[in-house]
Amino acid sequence: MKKTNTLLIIALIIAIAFHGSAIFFTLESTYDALIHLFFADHYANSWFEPWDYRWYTGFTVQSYPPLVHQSIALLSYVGGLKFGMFSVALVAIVLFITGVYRFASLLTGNRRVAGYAALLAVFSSTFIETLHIFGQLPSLVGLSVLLHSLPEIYLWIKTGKYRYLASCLSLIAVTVTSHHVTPIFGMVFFIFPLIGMVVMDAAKEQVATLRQVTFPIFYKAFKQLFWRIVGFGMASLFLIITCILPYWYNSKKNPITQVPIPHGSRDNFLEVTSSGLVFFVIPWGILLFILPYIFYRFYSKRYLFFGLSFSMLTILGTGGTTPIPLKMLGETAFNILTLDRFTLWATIMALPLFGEFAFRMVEGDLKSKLQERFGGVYHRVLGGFLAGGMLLMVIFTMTLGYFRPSQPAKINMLPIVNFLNQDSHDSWRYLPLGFGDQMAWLSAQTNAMTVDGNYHSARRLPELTTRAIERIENSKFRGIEGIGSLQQFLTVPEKYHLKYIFSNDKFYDPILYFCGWQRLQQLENGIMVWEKLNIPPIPAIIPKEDVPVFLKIIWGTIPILTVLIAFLINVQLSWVRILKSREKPLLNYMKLAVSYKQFSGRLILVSHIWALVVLLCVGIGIYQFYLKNVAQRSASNVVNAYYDALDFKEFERAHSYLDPNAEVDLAQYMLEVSVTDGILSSYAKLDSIGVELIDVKDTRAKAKVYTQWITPLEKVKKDFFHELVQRSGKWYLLPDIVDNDVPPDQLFVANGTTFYNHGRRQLTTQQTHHEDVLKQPVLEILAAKLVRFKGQYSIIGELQNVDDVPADVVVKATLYNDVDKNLARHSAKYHIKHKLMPKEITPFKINFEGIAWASTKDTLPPTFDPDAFTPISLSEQPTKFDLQSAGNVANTDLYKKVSFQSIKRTQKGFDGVLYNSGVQEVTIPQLLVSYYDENHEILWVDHQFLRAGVRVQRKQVFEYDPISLEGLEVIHSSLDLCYVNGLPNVAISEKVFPERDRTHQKDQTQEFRGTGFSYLKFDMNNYIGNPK
Amino acid sequence: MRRFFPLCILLVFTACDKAVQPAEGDGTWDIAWVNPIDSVRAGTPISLKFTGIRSDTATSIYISNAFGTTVLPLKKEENTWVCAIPKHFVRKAGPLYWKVLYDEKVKLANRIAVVPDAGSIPHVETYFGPRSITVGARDYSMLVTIPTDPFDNTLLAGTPVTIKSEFQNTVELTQERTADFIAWKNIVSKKTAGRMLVSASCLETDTKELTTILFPANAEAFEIAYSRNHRYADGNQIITFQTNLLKDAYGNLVGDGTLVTFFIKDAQGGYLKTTGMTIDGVAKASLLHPAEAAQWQVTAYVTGAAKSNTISVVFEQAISDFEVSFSEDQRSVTIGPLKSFMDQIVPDGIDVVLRVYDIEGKPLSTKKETTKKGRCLFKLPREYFENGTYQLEIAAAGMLKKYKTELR
Repeated sequence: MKKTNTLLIIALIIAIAFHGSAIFFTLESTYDALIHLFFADHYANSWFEPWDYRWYTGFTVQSYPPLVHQSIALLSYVGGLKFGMFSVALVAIVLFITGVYRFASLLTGNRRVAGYAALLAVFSSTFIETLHIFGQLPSLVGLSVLLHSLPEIYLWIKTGKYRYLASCLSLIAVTVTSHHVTPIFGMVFFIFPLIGMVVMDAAKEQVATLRQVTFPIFYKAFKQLFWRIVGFGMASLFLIITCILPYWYNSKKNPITQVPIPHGSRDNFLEVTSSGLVFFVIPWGILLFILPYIFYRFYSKRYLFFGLSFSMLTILGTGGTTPIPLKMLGETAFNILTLDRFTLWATIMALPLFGEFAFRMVEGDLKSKLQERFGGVYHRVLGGFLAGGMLLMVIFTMTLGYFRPSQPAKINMLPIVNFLNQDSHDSWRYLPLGFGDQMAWLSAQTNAMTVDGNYHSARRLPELTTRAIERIENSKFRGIEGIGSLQQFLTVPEKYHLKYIFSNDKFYDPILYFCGWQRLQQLENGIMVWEKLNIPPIPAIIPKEDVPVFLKIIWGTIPILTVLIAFLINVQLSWVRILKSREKPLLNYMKLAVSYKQFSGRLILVSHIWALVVLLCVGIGIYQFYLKNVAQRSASNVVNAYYDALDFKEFERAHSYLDPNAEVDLAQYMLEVSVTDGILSSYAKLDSIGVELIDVKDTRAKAKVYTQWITPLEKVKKDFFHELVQRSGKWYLLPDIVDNDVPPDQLFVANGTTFYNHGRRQLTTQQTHHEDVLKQPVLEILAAKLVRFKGQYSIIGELQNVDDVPADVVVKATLYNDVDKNLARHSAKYHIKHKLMPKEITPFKINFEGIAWASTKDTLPPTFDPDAFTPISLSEQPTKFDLQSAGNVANTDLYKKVSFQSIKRTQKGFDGVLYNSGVQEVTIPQLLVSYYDENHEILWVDHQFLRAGVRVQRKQVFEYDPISLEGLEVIHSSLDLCYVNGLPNVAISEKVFPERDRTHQKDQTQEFRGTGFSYLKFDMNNYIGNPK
Repeated sequence: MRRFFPLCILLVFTACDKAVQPAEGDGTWDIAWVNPIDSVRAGTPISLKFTGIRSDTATSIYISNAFGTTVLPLKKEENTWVCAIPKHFVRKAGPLYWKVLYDEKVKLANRIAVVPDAGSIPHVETYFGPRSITVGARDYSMLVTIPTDPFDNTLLAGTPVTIKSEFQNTVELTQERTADFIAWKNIVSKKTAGRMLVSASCLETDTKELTTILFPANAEAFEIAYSRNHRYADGNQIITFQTNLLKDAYGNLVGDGTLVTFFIKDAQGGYLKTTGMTIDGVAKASLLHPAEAAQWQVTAYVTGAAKSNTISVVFEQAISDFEVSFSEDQRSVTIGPLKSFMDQIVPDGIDVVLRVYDIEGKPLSTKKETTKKGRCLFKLPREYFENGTYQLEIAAAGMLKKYKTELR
């Protein structure tokens, strides 16, 4: 008895020392931990109020069982939220190790074996992954407590003593309140087989050996125990329902009707090897090698039901690799559940038998058998191999986050929190971009609200629930739906009172600029703050969904009560018991220990063969990996490798693929690469690449490279040509031709107007003083038309800043039918210059965009296309519109120094040259092209983002092929319902510009006899990535 | 709603006013208000004194005005019963209604008119906007003043307010009188741009200074000119266009930052466009010289408002000719040295295009290069161009040269 305790204690000490210290480095960068921290912060501030306004324009925390969150919240009163989180994590570690110990004792009836199992649990890669990579604290706590409850359930059914019923139910209640999925599936996968085992044990008592247990005997035993089983079943069902009643109430009221979010655990692991690694190889780890032993033992008669459960879990855990999980779970459950939990349960279920294996290997019959058969050295080598493999997996899993960071580097939140607190910035919503799961930590520290959130089951806005994205914050990883969803928030931010964006990823910068946002400042931590003008603050009263008071009370009291009761029953009572009687009777299941005497020889053989197969698979995998990475073996490989290197900005590697005879040295190459800026070189991610080799001669080839790039603005398809040469067996690319153009001046002077707006001149905590509020610049709408083109409705037109100060322009249009029914409303997105100098004119186009894939039945396009556009589906024909434009004084992004050096007609369209005469490097030039009819009436507005930037005093070429406007129909053309800053446009034009000369606009168009139009006008809108 | 609540109460009581006056005596009561007050200045302490009240505990005074409503106790002093009205009620101008209540019945009721404290130094709130207007006697900013007594009661209608405005050292004073609580004036803009300061004074109080900017009106027709280093089309010099002083109809320089578009048509039907923003009335914009001879017609616009004269700019060919040399196997084609107008080597970066056609004139390949040190080199490797006869076309600086060559 003393010895077994030693193993458990060693296990606990190592667990606390190892995991307890590691969590301080891992937990905060896990996927889930910070979300739980945010929930905890909610409870810490308003224990009984389930509504939280801070995410998703308001959501209820009754959508997740609260125990772990409330525990963290309670502890946070002592030492802050993070103290609470780490304390709960420590408790979870202890609970898990002891839980495995008790589960193993139950299964094997051998304390020594259970000790081994506890020790192995410490190093189990599945536990490490769940805690240190996923950070699933509630799931871990739930599972650990479930493991603790198993022996009590066994004892209740076996002995029928109510003491055990009380203790097992109290533990089930704790499980329920910490995690909802665990008890439900735990019922199926842990408790059902356990009941089967109890019945088997009871049946065995009626005969001499297990072998003699036949089905009739088993059935008889089952009948005897039937009412205890039913009693337990009903009672635990009751607990599952009542303990988290508000949760069920909420699920019923707000059913999860969202597009399923892709999860790696549903992938085909053979195709998506990274998912296979994370969701299969790591959790199984070294267990993969002893699978034959585990299956052999689980399919012995006593464990038969566990065997079935274990097999099911194993198969379910393979995700989309085989079609079986999909068929077993059905479409809905398959798409909602994350299947990694099945693997987690399978590997934890296997731990007792792993402990048994280790016991037999270290000091049991397997040791003697191996030594007898293969000699002592082999036994030691094998043991070393297993132990070494296990440690390797531990190190590999622990450092996974180091080598492949799943999160952006840790962000210092303080400057952001301070920013939100100052100057009433929290009167608007904010949106973090590129924060990863750290956004939850930011939310926890501020009262400001965001439209985003990090608990996707609670999303409410249709803009979010109809997309398979978990957060807008990381929308770039979610392709079309992600960027599409983000664009909706950026284009009509006033709908959500969204004014500030914290950008930690410059990928999003262009989309922010072209949607009309402007940089406000860079915080000390490097986060860029973007703001949008003309956004009303959040009203003082915002709606919430209330729930009955009794549900609030249940939610606020029962979870913590279950812990107190469980503590009282399980710990307190057993202490009393220990104090009262010194001689503790051996627990029922401990009598059923088997003696390990004869390790099956055949099993050893099978295990060896299996291990060889596994090793072979690993070997093949590594070899495949190697083959893929040999770059210069073939002409197409070197092209692929070159683009891969460019994509990851590994210029030194890219340079190594260039022909050494071309004598472009690295410094020269870097110089050439570093000067190229633009949407492709700075903001694009290579999406797909196809290489077509043409003219392949012995040592030379030409390659046509078809590339598709994801950029924040649009999907870019671009073809490149390369010449390749083979030198001494290796293929190389010939370097591209360099533009030798030299700018005229070494140093030149440029004068410009700059503007500065103080904001508040006088310090006040109240609203800004009246005299510090600037007048809104006056705009004039020169033309506005409702047109239908290709089945889409758009409002197009032109407007001018007729004030004397630069203006930021927002244009919003509403469509009406004949009976003035409001049909749709949207704002101008890309087709406008959002910043206008005095007297500058911009064309604009407002597309009425619907919420993409509003119906979940619509098929999602398989590939990425950020430019994809979902026309709104209008139930009725719009016949008129109103147009609301607003100007606000702008003082940034006023760079207008890109000129058209030439626009020449070609057969199809135009060849143009841009020239940058100012002092800023333009990263993404946008061409806005207005189409006019023969009377110079505007018909259409088109845009084109140029792929390369324009450097200072340099040229950049572009091609533009006008589109055909065949079928374009002007439905309504009027300036009657156009408003500027809330005033009628007509009044403005009469007052500010009574003698407008309309020929000026005509003079500036150029003739082009296209289909459906007669004149064109070109305008530039310039995005500067790094303003100087 | 909370703000209107006292008002509602007031309305209710105004309505009841007549019904309860004179007080319903039940015969046994003989209450008298011993210090009748008709009206007081806001802020003056008021005590209501009564005689004939029987029980001080059951009797209370109900008061109500724009500030609110409350019930006050009575205090006995010698033979009279006194009720001191709290200062918050006394500070609010308007009717102050009171009632003597006993057993929920009104025994006596009346009112006192509280008038604004015109004797003290008043406060004056001012609002002025818009903060910027256009010159030309059409646009205006409005100054609104709200004189109040120290307790924030607006002063009585007809209170005189002096409105002062300063523009370019000229101060104008006008007298306005308050009506509906405010005194206001539209201050019409002048014909010169600048900054106008306004303030107001009421009784002894002067307000802070407020500002509106008078921005110049729209530009009038203007002239443009250009400057450049030389007249040659070398593609590597800057030509700068410049306006004369842009002024509005009143002779003010237009506002800084006004966008001027220079729109250029060349002789070949091509278009060029460049923009400049005015600083002190002058806008400048620049372009590169073309790389081949050209004639530009330049007009500038402040679109909708003003247009310039049209000027003509002529560029002469800078590179008169270029040499082309072939290697022995004809597979290396060297162009250059390209020389400019005084036989100097052209600056790097002149575009040279080589088009390769087969003997029938079918296009095979187009290569673009830029010159370096006046030269550029094209290679025609054997892998792609088998031995045979080809036609080559070389274009640079607006010139085209054709060759027929046999690659070996």
